[in-house]
Amino acid sequence: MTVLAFREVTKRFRDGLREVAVLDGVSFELYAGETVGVLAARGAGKTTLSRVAAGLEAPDAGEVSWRGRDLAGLGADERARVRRHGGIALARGDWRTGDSKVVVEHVAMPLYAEGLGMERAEACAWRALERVQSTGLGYMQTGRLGLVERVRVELARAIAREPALLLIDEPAVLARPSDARAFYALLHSLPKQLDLSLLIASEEVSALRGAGRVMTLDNGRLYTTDSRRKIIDFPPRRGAA
Amino acid sequence: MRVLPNPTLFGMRVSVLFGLYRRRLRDHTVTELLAGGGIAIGVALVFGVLVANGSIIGSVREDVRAVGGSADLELVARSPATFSARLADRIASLPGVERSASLLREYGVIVGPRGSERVQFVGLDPGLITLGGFATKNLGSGELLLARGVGLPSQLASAIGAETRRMVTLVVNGSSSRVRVRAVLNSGTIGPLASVPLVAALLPYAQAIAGTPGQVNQVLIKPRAGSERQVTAELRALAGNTLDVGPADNEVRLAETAAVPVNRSTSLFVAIAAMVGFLLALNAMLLTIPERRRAIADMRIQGFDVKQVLAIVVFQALVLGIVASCVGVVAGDLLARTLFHEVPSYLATAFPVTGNQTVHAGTVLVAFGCGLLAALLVSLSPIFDLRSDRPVDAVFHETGEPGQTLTHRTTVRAAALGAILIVLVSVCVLLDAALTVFGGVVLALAALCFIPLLFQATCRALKGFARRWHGGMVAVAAIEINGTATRSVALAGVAALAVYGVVAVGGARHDLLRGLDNAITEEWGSAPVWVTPDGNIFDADGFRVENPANPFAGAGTTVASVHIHQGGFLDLGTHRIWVRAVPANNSTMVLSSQLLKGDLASATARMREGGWATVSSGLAEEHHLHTGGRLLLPTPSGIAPLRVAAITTNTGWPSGTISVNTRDYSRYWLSTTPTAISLSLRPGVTPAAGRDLVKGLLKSQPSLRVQTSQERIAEVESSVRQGLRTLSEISTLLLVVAALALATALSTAIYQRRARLSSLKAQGFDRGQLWRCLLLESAIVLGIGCLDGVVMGVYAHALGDRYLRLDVGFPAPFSVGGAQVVLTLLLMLGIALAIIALPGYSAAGVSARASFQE
Amino acid sequence: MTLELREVSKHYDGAGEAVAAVDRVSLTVAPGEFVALYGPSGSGKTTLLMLAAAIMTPDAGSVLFDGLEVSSLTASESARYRRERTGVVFQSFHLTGASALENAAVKLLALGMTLGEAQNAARPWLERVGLGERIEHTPAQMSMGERQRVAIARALANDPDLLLADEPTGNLDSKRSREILELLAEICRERQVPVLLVTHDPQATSFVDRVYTLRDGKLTEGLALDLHASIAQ
Repeated sequence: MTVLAFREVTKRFRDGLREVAVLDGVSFELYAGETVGVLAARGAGKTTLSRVAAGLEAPDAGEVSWRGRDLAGLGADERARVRRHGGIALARGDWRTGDSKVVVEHVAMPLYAEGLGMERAEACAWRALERVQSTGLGYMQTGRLGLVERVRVELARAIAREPALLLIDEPAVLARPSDARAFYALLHSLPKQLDLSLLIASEEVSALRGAGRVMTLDNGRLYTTDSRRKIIDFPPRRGAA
Repeated sequence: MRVLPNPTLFGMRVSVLFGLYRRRLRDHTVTELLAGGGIAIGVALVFGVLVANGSIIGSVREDVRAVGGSADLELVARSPATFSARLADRIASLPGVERSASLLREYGVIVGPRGSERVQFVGLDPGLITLGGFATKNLGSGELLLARGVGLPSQLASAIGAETRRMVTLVVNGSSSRVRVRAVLNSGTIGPLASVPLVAALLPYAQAIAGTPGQVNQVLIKPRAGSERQVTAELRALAGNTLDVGPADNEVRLAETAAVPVNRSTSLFVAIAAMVGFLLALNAMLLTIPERRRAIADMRIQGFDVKQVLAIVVFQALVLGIVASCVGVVAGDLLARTLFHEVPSYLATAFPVTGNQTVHAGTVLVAFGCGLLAALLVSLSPIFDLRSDRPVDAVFHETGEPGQTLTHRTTVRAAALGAILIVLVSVCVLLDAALTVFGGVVLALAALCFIPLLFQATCRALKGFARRWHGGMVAVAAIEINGTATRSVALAGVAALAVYGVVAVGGARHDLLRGLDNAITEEWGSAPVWVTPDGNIFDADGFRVENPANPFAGAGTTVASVHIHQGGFLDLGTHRIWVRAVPANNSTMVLSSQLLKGDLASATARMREGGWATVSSGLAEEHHLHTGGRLLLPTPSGIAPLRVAAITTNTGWPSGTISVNTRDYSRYWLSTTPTAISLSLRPGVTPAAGRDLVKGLLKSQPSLRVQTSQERIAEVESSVRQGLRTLSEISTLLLVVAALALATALSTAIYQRRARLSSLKAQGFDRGQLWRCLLLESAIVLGIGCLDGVVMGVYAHALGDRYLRLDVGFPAPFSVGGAQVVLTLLLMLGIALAIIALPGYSAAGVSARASFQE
Repeated sequence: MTLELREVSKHYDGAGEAVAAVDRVSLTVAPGEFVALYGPSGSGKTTLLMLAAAIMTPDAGSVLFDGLEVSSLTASESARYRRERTGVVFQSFHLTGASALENAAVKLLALGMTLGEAQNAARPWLERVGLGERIEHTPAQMSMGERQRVAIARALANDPDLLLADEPTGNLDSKRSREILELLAEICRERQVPVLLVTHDPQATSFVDRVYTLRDGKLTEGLALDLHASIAQ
C-alpha cells in the first residue's frame, strides 16, 4: 500500500538574486513498512525533500499525497495534524535540541498536541526512550548531551507519537564508526519493531545499508534504482584523490 | 483513542498549559523575570502615581461625606466672617427643610507632646447626627463623649502623641487654649475620617475656643423631597449679599480646582511611566523573541496547530501579565505609601487634606490592564511566524539575527510621523493651553519616532569621524550596533522616554520654583521682621494680639513702623481664592516680579489709595477683567465695588489671588484681625536684634512666630518645595529605574551576542578591545536616547511653562536648567554604564572557539 | 612562513571520559601550499584549525608558524598573532548587517587603522573576490556564495601570512562551493601563503595540493577508504 507519493514535485528557493530549483519534478512512491534511502551530497536537496514530505512547506508545483490525500491542498493546520500520532514524524538533520530542558520533557512535548495529560505523555516518552536504549538520559538536561546521545533523544522524540512514516534527514553525523554503526542499526530496526515506513536521506552510503531501495538526488532530479548492488557503485567514481 | 475527557482550551489541556508554563519558568527563569520585572515596574509606576494623585482630593471628599451625610445644600459665611446661630434656627423652621444642622469650621494648629499639626477645627451641632453622615452617626452619644473637650481622629492623635484625657494646646484665630482630649476616634467609629486632620468639639465649646460665641459659619440642609428649588430660593433670600448658598459638596469642587495643576503634571508622568514600563517589558521580550520563535517553529513541526500554539503563547502571556501586574500593584502601593504620601502643604492651608491613600477598584483595574496589555502585545509578536504563507520552520532557515535591520523607508517614515506629531502638538497647544498635558504624551511618542533617524545619523557621523581619526573602537562599535539596530533603537527609546519625562517635568518644576521664589522673596523681603501664626504660608489665618491698638508701643526706639497684613480665602464659583490685604504703609504694594499687565507705579499708587485691587490672570480671564475695569466681589458685607489696578500671577495659589489694601479689607470683610505683622526697624538696628526684641514683647503668645525676613523666606520656600517634592521624587525614581532596567537589558543583549564576539576574537580582537567596543556601543545607544530625550524634553518643558503661566497663572519664567539636565544625563549614563561594565568584561572574555562549527 | 604542527595532542571532556580530539598529529603546510583536511563531523579537524590559529593550546606538542612558537603565546600575544598574521574563513560567515565594505574592513580596526584606511585596504580584496560593484550592499542583499566571498575578502584584508578556512562551503550548493574553492586555490598561489582548509566537501580534492584525513584523532595522508566512498564525485 502506498503511504506517501511525490508526483512531479518542484520547489524553488531564492538565493540572492537567483532562483534555484532544489527539487525539480521529483516523483516517487513509498509503501507501507518499507525502508527507502536517499543518497545525496550536501546542498543537493535532502532537507527540502524531507520538509516537503513532512508538510512543513508546500511545493511550488506537483503533488505530495499522504495516504491518498494531497498535502498541498490542505491548510497549514491540517498539515500539522498529519504530523501527529499515526502520521509523519521528522527528525531534524542538525539533531539540535533547542534550548536546554529535561530530556523526558523534551521527548514528551509533541504528545501534548494530541491532548495527552502531563503524566500520560511522559509515560509515552519513557517508552520511546527505552526503544532507543536511552532511558538513562531521561533526567539529564538536553544542553549537556553529546551528539551521540542527542541523536538518540531526537529519534525518541520522533517515534514517541508512534508515526506511520519516519523521515530521517542525515543520520551520518557521528564521528566514531562504532557509534555510527550502532545508530544505523537502531534506525533500521525501527520499521519492523514499530510497524512504520522509514525514509532516510544521507550523504553517507553506510547509513543506507539495509534499505530496501535507494534513490539518489542530484541537481534537483531524483534517480531511482531498484538494486542495492548498483547503488554501491553509484555514482561512478571519478578522478583520484 | 487517546483523548480523555478533560478541561481543554483551544485543543490544549488546561493542566498541560499550567505544566508547560511551570517548565518555562524553570528553564527560562532569567528572561521571564526580566520581562515580568519590566511589566511590574511599569504597573507600579502607573499605580503609585494614580493612587497618590487620587488621594489628595479623596480625603476632602471623605470629610464632606462623613460629616455632611445626606445634606444636599449648604449656607456658608464668607471667610473669615461668621453668622449668628439664630439664622440656623430660622432655616430649621423653614417648611421645606427636612433637617438641618449648623457647624463652625476654623483652621488652626494643634500641639501635642510629640508635635504639632495643621487641622480643621469643627464645632458640631448635635442635630448633625440626624443628617446621617456615618462619622457623626456613630458619635451617637456624642454629647457625652465630647463634653467639655475635643475628639481627635486616631491618625492625628498618634502623630502629635495625644491620648485620651490628656491636655493638648489648640491654636485657633491666633489664641491658644488648653483643651482636654475626650476621645480618640478610630476608623471603626468614624470610618475614613479617622485619617483626616480634624479636631471635633461640640458647638458651644468650639465657639468658646474660637472666640465667637453664638456664631457659626456653615449650615447643612436637607430639603424635603420635591421642595429643593423652593428651599434654595428661600436660602438665597436669607443669605442676601453676605452669605453663599451652594451644594453641600462644594468643598470638594473647590479642592479639585486647586489641585488641577498638580494632577495634570502627575498625569503626564503616569503616561510616561506607562510608556517606559511598556518599553521595558517589550525590550525584555525582544531579547527572548528568537528563542520563542524557535520554540514555536519546533511545536509546529511536532504537529501543534495554530490554535494550540496560540493557546500556549497567550496562556503564558496571561500568567506573566497577571503575576507581574499583581507584583506591580503591590509595589506601586508601597511606592505610594512611602514616597508619594506627602501632601502639598499649600493645599493643606485651605482644605482638610491628608496623605492617607484611598485605592479605588478603577485604579487597580487601569494599572492591571496596562500590565496585561503589555504582556500580551509583546508575547504575541512571534506569532507572525504563524502566517499561512510562511514555512512553519522558517526561523531555522534564516541567517544572522532575524529582524535586526532598519530599512531606510522605516526610518524616514518614523521621522516624518514624529515631525507631524510635533507640528500637531504645537498647533493644538497654541490654540488651547489646557491641552498641554495631552501634548506632552504625544511629544513623548514623537521622541520615539525620531530615534531610528538619530540612530542612523549617529552611526554615520561616528563612521565619518572614524574614517579619518584613530577613534579606537568607535568605528567597530558603530558597525556593530548597526547589526542589532532594532534592539538598539528600542533600548535608546527607553532612555529617551525616561530622560524626556525628567527634563520636561523637572524643568517646568524648576522654573515654577524660581518664579515662586521671586514672589516669596519680594513679599517677605518688604520688611525685616515678621510676626505670623504657626503653620501658615498663605497668610490666611487671623490671630489676636494683646493691646491691639499698638502692640509695640514699648519698642519705639527699635521699631520704625508696624504694618498689619490681613487676608483669607474667598469662595468664588469653583475657586477658593486667596485674598491678600496689604497695608497702605507697606513698602511693596504690588509684587513687581509677579506683575503681568499694568504699570507698577500707578498700580502701587492706586492700591495705596484704596478701592483698587490686583487680580491674578486666571481669574481675570474667567471674569473678563482688564486693568482699570470694574470688579464686583462678593464679601461678608455684601458686594464690594472695586477696580482692577493690575493683573498679576497667582503668586503660588493655583485657584487664584486677589490683593486689596487693608482699609478696604477691614471695610468689606468686617475684620481687623491681622494674619501677619511686619515691622520696619530704625536705622542701625539689625533684623536679628529687632526679632529678639519683638520676641520678648510677645512672650505671652507662644503660638506666634517671630522671624527675620530671611528666616521667613527660607521657611516659606521650603514649604513650597515640599509641595512639589513628589514630582521630583517620581522623576528621580523613573530615571533610576530606567537606568537599572536599561543596564539589565543591555547586559542581556551583550550576552546574546557572544557568537559574534567570538568571531571577532578569532579575527584578532583582544579582550580589552572588545570590552571598550561593548562599552562604547552601550554609551552610543544610551547617548542617542538621552540626546533625543533632552531635546524633546526641553521643548515639552517650554510648553509646560507656557501652560503654567497661561492656564493656571503661575509664575514660571522659561529657562533651561543646564546644570540639572547635565546632572540627569550623567546619573542615567553613569548608572547604566557602571552596571554594563561587568557583564561586558565577562562577555569580552568569550573564547574564539564558539565561532567555529562543532 | 611555514605552518608546522609537531606531535600535537588535544583532549576533550566528552560525556564523562576524556576523548582525544587530536592525538600526536604532525603536519606541515608550506607557503603556497593548499591543504585540505577531511574527517567525519566531530573528528577534531576543527580543533586542528583552532590550534593553528592559537585559539587553543595543545595538551602536548607544539605549533610553529614561521619560527614563532604559536602554542606558547599569551592571550594578548595570540590575539596580536591572529590579527597581524592570520585570516580565518568561517562556515557561517559571521557577518553583520553593515555593508560589505565595512564587514571586510572591521578586523583591520583591531590593528589601529582609521576606518578610512581600513576601507581602502579592504576595497581591493572585495574587487579581487568579484564584488567590486557591490561593496555598499549588505549581506541580506547577497546570495550565500557572495556572503562567503565577503568573508574571504575580510580574511585577506590584513594581507595574512596564513589562511585558515573552517568548512567555507558548508552552507553553499555545489556550484557555489566550486567557485569558492577555486578562489581559495588562486589566492593560495597568488599570495604564496599556506592555506589550511577543513572541509566535508568532496569537490575540494580537485583543488588542493594535498589531502589529509583525521579520524579518531589520528591524521593520515590521503582520503580514507570509507570516507572516500561517501564523498567520491
